[in-house]
Amino acid sequence: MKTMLEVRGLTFGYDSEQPCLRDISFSVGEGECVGIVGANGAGKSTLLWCLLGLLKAKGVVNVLGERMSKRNLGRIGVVFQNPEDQLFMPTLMQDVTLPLMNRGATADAAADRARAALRSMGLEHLGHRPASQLSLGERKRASIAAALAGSPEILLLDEPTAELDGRSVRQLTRVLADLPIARVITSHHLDFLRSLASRLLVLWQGKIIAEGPTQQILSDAGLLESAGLI
Amino acid sequence: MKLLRWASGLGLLVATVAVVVVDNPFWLVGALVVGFALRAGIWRNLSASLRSALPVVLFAVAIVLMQWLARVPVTSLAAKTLAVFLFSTAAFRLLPWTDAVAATRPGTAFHGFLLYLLFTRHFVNILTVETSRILQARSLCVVRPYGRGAFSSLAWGLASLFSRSLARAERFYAAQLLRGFAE
Repeated sequence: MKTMLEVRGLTFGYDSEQPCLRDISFSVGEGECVGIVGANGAGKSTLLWCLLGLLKAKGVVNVLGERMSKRNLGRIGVVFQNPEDQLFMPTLMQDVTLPLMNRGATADAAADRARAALRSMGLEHLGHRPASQLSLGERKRASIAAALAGSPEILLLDEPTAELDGRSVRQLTRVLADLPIARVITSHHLDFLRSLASRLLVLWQGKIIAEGPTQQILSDAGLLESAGLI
Repeated sequence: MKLLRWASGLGLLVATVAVVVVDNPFWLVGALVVGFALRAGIWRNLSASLRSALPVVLFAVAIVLMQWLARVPVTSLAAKTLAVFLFSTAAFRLLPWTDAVAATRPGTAFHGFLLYLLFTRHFVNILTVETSRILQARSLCVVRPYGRGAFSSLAWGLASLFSRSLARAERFYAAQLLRGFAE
């Protein structure tokens, strides 16, 4: 399997005495869905920010064999926990087309790709409305549509189920399960990860304390308890 | 309709510049009257539109007070400040500039300027929401307006607005950076 994302020896700390991420290493293969599971404060979001180069960490992050840099940021789609951090245009359609046009796509090509992305998330009929008028579940899916419109090869999602109701979680699970690209999802929603991720990494106090197939990890009650997940 | 909005919005921007240049008190008073009339006419909710102008009105009053206390001549600065606020916010409302973002070519200075306006508007909305959340949280624990802790809680609430806004600004910047807007 082709390696899409490779992380080796990633260490980061706001305070050099007390690193909040310690020697993190893992890889994600083509089309694979990997869950990073951890209790609140375990370092999940910090890890994502380090992967994206938004926080300067020690260690190696490779995207398709190349060192992570601004140049290959376009190969990664990111969905933040709060959709308001991503969507700000007068209409959803403009929110999706603008980054494409900003990267050089023509207005027509951008509109076509945006429509396709919104359709894949079941939001095509809401393209004319501003994100602020949508429900949280719709806004989350809109953020994913905006990320997918750029045709990323890897999709990173930070706590996608945060504050969502049961129905929205199920809708989100369906759309994410159908995606053919590599996905990295941070969450502490175990049922959500059970139905999506093929492999889980358990993060506890900034360290990966376990890694393995989802079923195996989720059936180890002792491990989940020691990681503060149950 | 759109043409009319462009024409009236641009007219208001010209008026904004004019009130800075003009020093005639009658013109300034006239501008303020027109400005408030515009605000009442354009905003759907009259009381909310006037309430939202209150901080600037207070700022203008503070300018006059400081000039008076310092025993320097009271200038037209306060009236101009208020008039500029009234005209520019009305122009901001009237001009269909959000449509222009998609119509302009990325990479041009004008496109960048419009994006800057959009970012600013978005962040003002975030600030408004955060402020109302803080005030709501405070109102739940501070029942008596002059009771113990009433003022300190307000100060702490406002102080926390800075850290909250900073965190939101960081996340917003990071998200836009990843979407290619800072390349």
